[in-house]
Amino acid sequence: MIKGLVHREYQTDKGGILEAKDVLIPLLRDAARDKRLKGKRVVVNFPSEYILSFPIDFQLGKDETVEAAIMRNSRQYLTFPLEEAIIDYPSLTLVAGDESNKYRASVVAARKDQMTDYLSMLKAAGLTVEVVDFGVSSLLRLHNYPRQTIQNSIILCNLGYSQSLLSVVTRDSILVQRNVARGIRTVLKNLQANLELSADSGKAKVLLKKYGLFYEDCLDCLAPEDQTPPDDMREMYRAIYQIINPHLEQLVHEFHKVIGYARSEQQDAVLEGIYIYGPGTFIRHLDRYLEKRLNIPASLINPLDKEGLSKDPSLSDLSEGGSFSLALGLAMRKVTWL
Amino acid sequence: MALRETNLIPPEILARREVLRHLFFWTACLVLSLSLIGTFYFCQIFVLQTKKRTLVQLKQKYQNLGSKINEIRQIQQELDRMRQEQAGLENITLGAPYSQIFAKLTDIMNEATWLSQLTIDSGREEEPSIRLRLRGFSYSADELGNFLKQLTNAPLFKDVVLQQARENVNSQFSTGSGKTVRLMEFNIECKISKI
Repeated sequence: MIKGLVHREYQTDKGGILEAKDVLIPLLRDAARDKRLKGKRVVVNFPSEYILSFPIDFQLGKDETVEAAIMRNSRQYLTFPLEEAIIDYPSLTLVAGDESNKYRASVVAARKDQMTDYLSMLKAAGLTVEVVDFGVSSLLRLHNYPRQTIQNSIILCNLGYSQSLLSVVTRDSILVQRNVARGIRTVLKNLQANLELSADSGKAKVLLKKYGLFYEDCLDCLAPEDQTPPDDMREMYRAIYQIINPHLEQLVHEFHKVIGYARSEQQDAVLEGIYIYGPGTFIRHLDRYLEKRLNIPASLINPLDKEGLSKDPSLSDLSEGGSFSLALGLAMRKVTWL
Repeated sequence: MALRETNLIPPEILARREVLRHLFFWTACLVLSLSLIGTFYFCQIFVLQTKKRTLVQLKQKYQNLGSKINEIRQIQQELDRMRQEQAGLENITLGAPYSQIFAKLTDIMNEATWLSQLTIDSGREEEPSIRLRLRGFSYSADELGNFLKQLTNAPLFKDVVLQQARENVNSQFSTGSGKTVRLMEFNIECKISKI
């Protein structure tokens, strides 16, 4: 059951999350003091910019464990010494063929010193980290909730403010995971700059919610719930579309890269659909836009619309559920104390 | 194979945490178990001590009662002994009036009257009086009457009853003048109070 949802944006000129300790620690401390948060044990995601993710194919040596083989094979992919790495594997599949002990694994790795810094930062905020999860795992957990199962390959995307996560997953493996340093923040800023809106991103957000990418699909239609003459409306749709389209084209380009890589990895990969999570889901007609360009069915998912997640009456605005996608996926992680 | 849950916390931190938590958990279990055992032990001691205290009190009461019973028995024995002594003394003291009785009878008895049989029945202990039966002869009814009157007036004798008085044909007595008189045979019963 969801006890409460809190979303805070932090402003900093510094690069990554580990450089913004001074800003983050007080914010996290405030969140930890929130009465709705019982206990101090937390499950967190390690920011994707610090995670190295790669697939490996390997064969088990004589008397070799899977873990040892993964360590042996990961060395060549790491950009830092293996001794300084923390390695885990979210998926492991036995490759069908003549050799029965041939495996394919999706590996995630992080630098130990960066992880230690991250844990120290959370500890300074008064939190005890139980699990540091991987973004795709959280997204998959949320996607599979409550009973949804993946039949063929799908694309899971978390369209965040500054970072986006693209992944191609099957029922039992992660084919591709790609972190893109793009999000809707640039879209919002561009909209504010072009329309000379105030620094308040709320107005830009409202425009994205109301108009979004609707222009493509509605050359003759009327805007719902609006009395503005159709011509003026069409102009507004067009203006918004023209401003945000270049940014989203870059995202589409990233999708193409990911899909291409997935198909190179798995020749017979049938991509069943694209599922968009994250704060970017409020952009109107983003799903239709991606469908047209990628020729794959796309859906914008608000996790609070999922069965069993939005029954709490304390949640006032269910439309803002997209921002909590990763958090909800993390919250579904089972953690044992002992 | 299915997807795995990952955890990127350094293994040494996880291992240290696991050890500490296990240590804490088992210490807590141990403390809890010991406190439960301790609580049970102290409860048992408390209950047992209460029962023991009651038992001791009962024993003390029993001992007190025993000593009191012994005292009572001693007192009873003492009482019995004193009663026996009293009975002995009473026998002794009851013996004393016989001489008085005889002396009084001697005073009362006139010359014309004499006794042929004197029976003293001291009776049972609880009876407060001694029965006295007098059998004898008298020259005349007048003399017998005088004797009876004297006997009745004497305070030592009570309930004086003349049971029988008759002339005895077989018994005759010659007086100094040569006259022959028939003797009056009598039978008197009376009581003498115990002293």
